[in-house]
Amino acid sequence: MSVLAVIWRAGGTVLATEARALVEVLPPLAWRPSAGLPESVRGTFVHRGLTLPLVDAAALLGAPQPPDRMMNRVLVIRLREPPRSMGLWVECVLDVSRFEIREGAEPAERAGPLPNGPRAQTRWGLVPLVGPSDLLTDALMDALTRAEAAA
Amino acid sequence: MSHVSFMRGLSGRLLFLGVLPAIIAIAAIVALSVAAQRRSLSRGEERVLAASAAGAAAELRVRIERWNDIAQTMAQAQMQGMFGQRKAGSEFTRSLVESFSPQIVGAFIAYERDADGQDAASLKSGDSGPGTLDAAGRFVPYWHADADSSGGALSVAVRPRIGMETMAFYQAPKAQLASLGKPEPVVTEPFEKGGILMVSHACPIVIGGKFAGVVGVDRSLTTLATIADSIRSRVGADVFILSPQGRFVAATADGDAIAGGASLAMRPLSETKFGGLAARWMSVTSGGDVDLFEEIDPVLAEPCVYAVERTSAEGWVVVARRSKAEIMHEADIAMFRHVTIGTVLMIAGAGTMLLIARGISTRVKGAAAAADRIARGDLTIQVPDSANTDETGSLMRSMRSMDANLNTLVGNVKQAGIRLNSTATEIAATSKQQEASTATFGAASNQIAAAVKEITATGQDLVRTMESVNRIGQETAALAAAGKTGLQGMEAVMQELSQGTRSIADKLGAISERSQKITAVITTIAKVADQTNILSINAAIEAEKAGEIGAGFLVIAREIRRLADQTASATLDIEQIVQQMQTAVSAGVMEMDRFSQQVRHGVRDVATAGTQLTEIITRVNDSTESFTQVNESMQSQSEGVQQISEAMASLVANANQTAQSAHEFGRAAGDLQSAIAVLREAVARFKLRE
Repeated sequence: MSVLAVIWRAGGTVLATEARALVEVLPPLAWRPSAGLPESVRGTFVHRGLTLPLVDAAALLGAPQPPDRMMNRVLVIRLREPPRSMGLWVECVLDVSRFEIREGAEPAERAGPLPNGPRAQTRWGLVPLVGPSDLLTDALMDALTRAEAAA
Repeated sequence: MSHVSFMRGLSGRLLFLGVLPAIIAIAAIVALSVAAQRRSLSRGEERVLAASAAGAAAELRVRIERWNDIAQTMAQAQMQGMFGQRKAGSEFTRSLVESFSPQIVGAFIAYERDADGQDAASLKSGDSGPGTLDAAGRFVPYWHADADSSGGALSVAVRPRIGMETMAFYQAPKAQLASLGKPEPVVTEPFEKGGILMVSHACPIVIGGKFAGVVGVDRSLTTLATIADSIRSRVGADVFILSPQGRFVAATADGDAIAGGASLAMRPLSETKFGGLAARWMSVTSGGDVDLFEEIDPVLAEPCVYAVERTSAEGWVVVARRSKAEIMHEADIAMFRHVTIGTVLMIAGAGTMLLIARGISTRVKGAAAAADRIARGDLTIQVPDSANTDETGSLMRSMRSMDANLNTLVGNVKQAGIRLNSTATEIAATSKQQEASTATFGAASNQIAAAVKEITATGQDLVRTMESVNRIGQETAALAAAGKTGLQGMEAVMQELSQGTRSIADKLGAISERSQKITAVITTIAKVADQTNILSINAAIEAEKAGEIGAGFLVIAREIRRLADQTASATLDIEQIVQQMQTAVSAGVMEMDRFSQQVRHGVRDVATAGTQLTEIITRVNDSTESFTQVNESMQSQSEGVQQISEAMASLVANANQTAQSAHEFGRAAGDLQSAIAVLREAVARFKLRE
């Protein structure tokens, strides 16, 4: 099976996300900090008239947060359950192309807290194919829900 | 001693023959230097104005080409498989508005009537979505962004675009396709809609070799004011941006004054106060040098410099204007500073030379007064000693030595006269003892003759010493004159070297300035490449969501991303090269500054040495005259002593004859007394120190 995936890097880890799960990719943007959120959530930003939470991918992976650069990108991801969108701040986008997917086989190395799921065969090796549900814990989802309600 | 007037004295001659010509020459050099620097500064400011106009035109061209690329990408998507996929095409257009608002106000697709053969079916099914069709089912969606009234957030809406056959965004690309035979993007003349000044970037759709419709975006022109204001704040020049047909689009100057009280936006150039300059402004062609000229400004009513440039894309015109008085202000400040410094230096130099001349004149006057008293026979005064090491000090010491020798000489002569007189009296009184006293008289005469010889030898030594001093002084003057000639040649070479270093420093400064402008252009290219990269990623995502119909556009998005990556890589290489060049130029500028300062110090030192040599020559020449006068006096005195010596020899001869001629003794004694009287009278005029 092959899918169109966006290859990105955060906290030194290369990951892939299926293009259909993304709304769009944005350049580094201005965001507003919010109180009472976990350390991995930078704050909120306005996208197409809606206030969305902005999550730092490096913090999610347990890596130190590097300084912001012009090459940074924000992946706007659409969640299905519950239906909402969120921004994912990544170090850079490496490629957008169609890749062959291997279901749970040959886990070269475990990518931080991520589960062993399908992986895409890329020139960076076997890269974990992660979706919104793989990145967000239940506690973080609850915190984002409270942040949206407060905004 | 005779009085010497100021004009004929040493100070007067030095002032009118040395200081005044030097002041005139320095004033001429300062005036020529200031005039050259004033011209150079004026040309530099005009080059900055031309570079600003060229830079604004280049940035304008980049923006036009960027949005033309977007319109061409939309057309390529239609021609690569999206044509006829009305729902997907409408969604793609909506996503463009969402992604690039507020830079674009709207995006549109306009098919020819029943171009895809689906007009009737779409009208019946409504699959393409509400607001995308006209009354006959023609696919004409126009997605536009509007800020809602609550908080400024954007909302996107769609409505059919009706009656576009007569509009420029539809007619222009259609006509260009018929003319060129291939689809190329077109930019319309600016127009105002909803209070916003904008242009349309449109590209024709060609299916099966036939015109099938147009796609494109409406772009806001508010960012052009940002370009003009940026140049205004950076260079201080007013900037005007005009459309290809000569309508004002952006201006930093007072628009009411230019348009005669009306709004300047979209007003034709010929209907403003700049109408008289319209032919010159609009005749500029793209791709050539910036048109730089000076005219009386019809609004400011004063001379202004204009820099006019036309963009290579679509022919937009950028005009930069700056008052000639502002340009020359910096040059006038530099001129005032040079004149002030030059005047202070000339006054200081003239004062120093007059002080030195006055000191020399005072010492020479003292020597002349001492010589005058000695000439009158007054040897009672003590010639003061001098601690100066120059020629005047040497002159005073020689005068002091001469005075002491004369005192000794005259004192000895007087004493000899007294002794002779006593002897003669004794001879006359005791003629009988004449024979016995003859021996004693002869001995005394021999002593006198020896003393006279010693005086003669001392006087001749003094004459030789004075001749030696005079010869050394003349040789010193000759050497100083030769040294002055060499220093004048060296000063001319140093002046040429100084001018050369200034020219090189100016050229290095121009290179540094241009490399900084290259860096600004590189930054703009890097931003465009980065935004193009993001655009290609989003285009690929949207194409994936469109399914099979987006497969063709996915390939286009990948190629666009590859081109953006290559552009970013090439930009990085250029940036590194420009940084290396800037580092080298900066080092060169610093080295040239240091070298130029050393050359200026060298010029000043050579001028000072030349002035000092001139003073030495003048002093030695004046001293030579004094030495000659003293030498002549010494010669005269030596001759007098020689006569005394001869007289003494005659006296000795007479004494010897006395012993042999006794009968002539009385007459000889009388002659001796007469000679002694003459001698005493001669030396009586000399007054000796106690």
